Amino acid sequence: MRVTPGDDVVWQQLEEETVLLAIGSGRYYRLDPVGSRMWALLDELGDLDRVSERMLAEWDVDPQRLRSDLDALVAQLAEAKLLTVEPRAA
Amino acid sequence: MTPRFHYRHYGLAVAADAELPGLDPEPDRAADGDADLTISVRRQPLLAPVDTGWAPTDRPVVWRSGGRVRLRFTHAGESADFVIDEGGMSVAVTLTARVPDADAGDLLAGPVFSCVLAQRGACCVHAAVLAIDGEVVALAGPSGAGKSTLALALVRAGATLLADDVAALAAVDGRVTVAPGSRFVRLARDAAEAHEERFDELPRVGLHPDRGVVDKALVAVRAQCPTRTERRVLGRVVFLEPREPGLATPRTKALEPHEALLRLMRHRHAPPLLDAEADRRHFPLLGDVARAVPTFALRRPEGVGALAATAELLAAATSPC
Repeated sequence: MRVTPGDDVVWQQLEEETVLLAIGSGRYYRLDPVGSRMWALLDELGDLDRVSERMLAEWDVDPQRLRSDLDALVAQLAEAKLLTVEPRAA
Repeated sequence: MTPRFHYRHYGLAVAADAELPGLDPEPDRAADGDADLTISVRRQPLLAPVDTGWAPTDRPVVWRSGGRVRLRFTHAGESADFVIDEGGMSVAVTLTARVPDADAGDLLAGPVFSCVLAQRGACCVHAAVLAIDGEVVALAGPSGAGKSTLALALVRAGATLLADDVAALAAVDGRVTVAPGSRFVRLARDAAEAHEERFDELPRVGLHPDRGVVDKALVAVRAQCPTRTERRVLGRVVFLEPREPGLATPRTKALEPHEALLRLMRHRHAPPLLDAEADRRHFPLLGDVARAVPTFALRRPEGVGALAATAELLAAATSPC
């Protein structure tokens, strides 16, 4: 799946955390260190599978657990309109 | 316009065709051509309704049209109207007959100038700014938090006042800097008397942009700055928490960067101009502040008796830069 930060979202990484601001709503969101790393990779790579691969290479973590956490975060971000998710072109 | 009066405010050279109490006179500057900002003032019996086409913002006293901003303050049938051009290079002021000069000057020096700075690209935070042992400290808080009162206590303890109410922040060479503002502080009667100032003998200002009429006095603080134009690197931010009647002694608590960023965004000044474009510019700048500048919350006891101890606490925590 292709993922892209929303046009109306700006963010700042502060130490290991990230604060996101949704410009339209004026709402702030805070990501913990793991969520911050996921967000940075989602922005950098733009593809859920590649983000998962990169995180597995970085961290000693169960692949299924990682993917489940990643999917959950992406779903939350998409629901808050911080991220757009599109199926990968065939 | 024939400028006859020259001032220096937030580092800008100001030329005006009328006397403006509340701005810092700069009589030595004779040439008008080098002014950063020109102000024209006229009086008329009644102000016309705002032209059709101006779009009101969420604050009833402010309109925007293209790049221009218009602020209108009204009280007891009297009005003061300010139109700021797109680049923050000129202000056209129209006053009804009985608006006191002191109020017009005070509105210009405060909320109007905040919009001028915003039009020129600065990020304004609601804060007094002082140099304490060489370290530039911003005391942030909403109207009525006691910023000016505490600032004057710090000045009396040896600090230098850089700005009373607005910290105009901008990034310069990768560092967050603050412009020198004004040598005046505005104090309510109880705060002035706590500092042993004779309130009734001081110049008074009244109209307040958020709270209607507030009787305050202007106290001039002796200029101690090396220059009135040099930007200074911001060294520390202290947020003034509401006063606590039961608290025995003042204390500070360090804030996490994310907390500092949210508070800084919330404490921005010139709210009429805080649109999406401003959010995009200010968020990274204030992110830089949250990352690089130590930030604290200050808890204080109620009452003027705690002022000296609070000033002492802030002065003791400095590290010269």
